[in-house]
Amino acid sequence: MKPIETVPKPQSPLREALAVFFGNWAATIGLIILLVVFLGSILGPYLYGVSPKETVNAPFLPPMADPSSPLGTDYIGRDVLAGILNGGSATIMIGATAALVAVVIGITIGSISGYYGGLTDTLLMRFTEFFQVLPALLFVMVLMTLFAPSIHTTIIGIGLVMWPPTARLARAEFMKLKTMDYVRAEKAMGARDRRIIWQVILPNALPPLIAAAALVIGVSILFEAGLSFLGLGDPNIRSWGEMIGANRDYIFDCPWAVFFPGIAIFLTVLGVSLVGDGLNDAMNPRFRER
Amino acid sequence: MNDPILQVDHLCIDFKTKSGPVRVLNDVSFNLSAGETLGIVGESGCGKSMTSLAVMGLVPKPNGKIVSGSILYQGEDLVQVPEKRLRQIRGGDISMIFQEPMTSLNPVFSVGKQIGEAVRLHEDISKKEIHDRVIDVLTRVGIPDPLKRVNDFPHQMSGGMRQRVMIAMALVCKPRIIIADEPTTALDVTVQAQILELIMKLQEEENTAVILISHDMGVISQVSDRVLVMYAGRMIEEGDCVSVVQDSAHPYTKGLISCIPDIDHTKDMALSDRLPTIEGIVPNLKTIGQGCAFAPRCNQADEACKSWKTSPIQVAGAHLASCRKIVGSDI
Repeated sequence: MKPIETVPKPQSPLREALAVFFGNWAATIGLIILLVVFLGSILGPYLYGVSPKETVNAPFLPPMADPSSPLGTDYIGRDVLAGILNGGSATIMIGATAALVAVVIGITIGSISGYYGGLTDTLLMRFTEFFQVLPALLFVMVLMTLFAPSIHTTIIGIGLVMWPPTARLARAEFMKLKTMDYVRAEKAMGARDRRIIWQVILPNALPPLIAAAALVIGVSILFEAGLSFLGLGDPNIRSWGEMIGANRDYIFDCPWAVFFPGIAIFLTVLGVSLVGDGLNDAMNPRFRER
Repeated sequence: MNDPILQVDHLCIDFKTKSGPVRVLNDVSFNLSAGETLGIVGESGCGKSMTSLAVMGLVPKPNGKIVSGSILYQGEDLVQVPEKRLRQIRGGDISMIFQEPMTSLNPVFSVGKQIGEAVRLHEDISKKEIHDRVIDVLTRVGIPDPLKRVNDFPHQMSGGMRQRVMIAMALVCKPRIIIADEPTTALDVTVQAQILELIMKLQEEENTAVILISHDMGVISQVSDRVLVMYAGRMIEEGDCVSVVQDSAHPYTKGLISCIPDIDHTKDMALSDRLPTIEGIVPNLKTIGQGCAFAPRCNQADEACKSWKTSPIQVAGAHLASCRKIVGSDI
């Protein structure tokens, strides 16, 4: 006779989340897009050894016209494919770092505000609202003109306008979680506030925050592209936005020099958003119930 | 008996509300000695949990406030000591077991890590020693295969197992006092008995004092040495378990005891007979006056009860009750 089967042990939370994530076809496609973009940006410059900054061919060369420049050249004869392969790392780096700045500021302010409540909360939230009502683009433009437009100013500028939504989300999570029994139990064990905020509540608040952070990366990449398009990016760094910006006066003479970097931005942001959505679903306990 | 390690003296706590302060604890006093179990009984909102929170120094701020009274722990007044000292006492000297084992454990960490953290907060010892302590305490609370279970997450355990983990967390620093706030309410009856037995066994091993809070007179009468009955933030009867249960003096205590279904008695009862209940509801603490808080629901109350300023009256020995009828009938 067969022995009675025991109840299967529940899977670990991470395993379960991964199963939900990869069960979501949109998220999986997003991840594949991102992998292609990453690989292209890391390996591309080595495999395709054309300089993105130098004139390598005749200007206004359409795609496929010359096999040595498959995506054509721009108005001063720089290779568009080389620009896309080399510009990816700058675009993603700026987007991701700016998002990191935003998320760190947002989580710090949001968690303190949500945990302590009262006057602290009121003051911090008014401060957050101040940043939220600033016209984002104008604020960063002012920053860029006051300080020299460098990669650091870009990152800090974008980080400063992107943090309020994260702060509000972190605050909401903390307000919800601080009343949980395990937080009370932790206090009864003699833990101090610092430990409760960072080591007890934050790990529980992370899932929605990670999902939100992924979306912030997408928006930051767009924002960087917008700044570069307006000519406010670092002129020494070739990013996708900068490529579009540099060629905007010649958009009718060489549309491909604007079109291909635009497609690259579009695909990357789409990939990040799909992955962010997938993470949100995978980490949200509501979707985990079978 | 030996000297009390905890003396709560005339403790009053107010809660700030929109319509002014409400007295949630009114003149509560009791003593607790090492190795003793004190049961606190009462309905929801009678101040049982507030009493335990006050002892832990966790009265919800900024709305709750200790207005007067003292809580002496081995001569130290917990109402006056700074927060830093309170943190050392919490978990180290006095620890607490909560009602809801399902939500009282942090879902993102393994149970072993959580018990280990409880040690780390109070003692400066190496990882290896912490691990040994955790395994040891898990064995003592009766978790089978502790070497494997130590890495389990709370959601991989049953309610009874989690409550054992909570008890392990409360015990791991060898506290002098354990406050168990409705430790068995959320559990199955069969598991309830096991958990109560476990608490009692561990208490004997370490000579710990236990404050057991429950709304269930049945649970309290099984395990307590002394019983404190509370109603509307006041103590209404106090004494050793046997006299309070068998010779209860206060009509409310009598009512509570008659609410316990008695299996022998039920056999003789006709099917139509119903379990007696206490009519009415707990009074609103805002509208309570000077008189006996139970008077509106009491079947023996008269006009004088409504204005009688409640104070404990000796029934016999250390058995006290706050009912003026005791005076009237006996003296």
